[in-house]
Amino acid sequence: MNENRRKILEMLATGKITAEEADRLLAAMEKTPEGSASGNGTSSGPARKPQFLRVLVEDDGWKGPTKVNVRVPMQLLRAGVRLASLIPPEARDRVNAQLRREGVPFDLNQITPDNLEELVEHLDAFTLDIDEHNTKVRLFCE
Amino acid sequence: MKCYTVGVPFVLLVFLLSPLVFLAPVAFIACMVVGVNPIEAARLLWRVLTALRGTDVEVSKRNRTVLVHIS
Repeated sequence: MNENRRKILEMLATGKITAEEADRLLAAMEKTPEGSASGNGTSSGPARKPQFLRVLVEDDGWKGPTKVNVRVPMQLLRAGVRLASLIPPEARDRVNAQLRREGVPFDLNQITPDNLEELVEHLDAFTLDIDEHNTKVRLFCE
Repeated sequence: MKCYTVGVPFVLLVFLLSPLVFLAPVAFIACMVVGVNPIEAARLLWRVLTALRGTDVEVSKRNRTVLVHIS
């Protein structure tokens, strides 16, 4: 049993709170994401991390409707971005120069495993929806 | 609608890609030439390969659906 749930039930059993108050507290606890709902003020752990990156494509072209549904594990994404560390230094400089020329001030040399991990972590709130003519593309994490 | 499901076990995937091991000396030399640690490169590639587990690709066209799942 969850520690917070136990505390609420104990308070109800000892008569410190009424049944209605306990019900409200339990409902509020269920709405609160895990990790931020601990009673002692410290988080009991991070919220559930997304496991998969989903790409959904629907196309109603003249050849008939086509649907593509791809589910990629986030681990693959993590492993993939780490491959950036394999880019030789000379190639990185050329990529950086090309990016600058295209108006993207991005330095590949600053990519470290920690930064990459942070980047992937922040993808959980990332959603992309493209709706154009007969084509719909949706990209999200789950 | 007809649905074709192809489950690809990870072991089979490794087995199918195993002939690439013969290219290892070439890859090793290439890594040395461009200044990349070959062991680190091999480790990262293995990591990518193992991370493929759980990948699903589903394509539906007209009345046909093909689902490829790497388990």
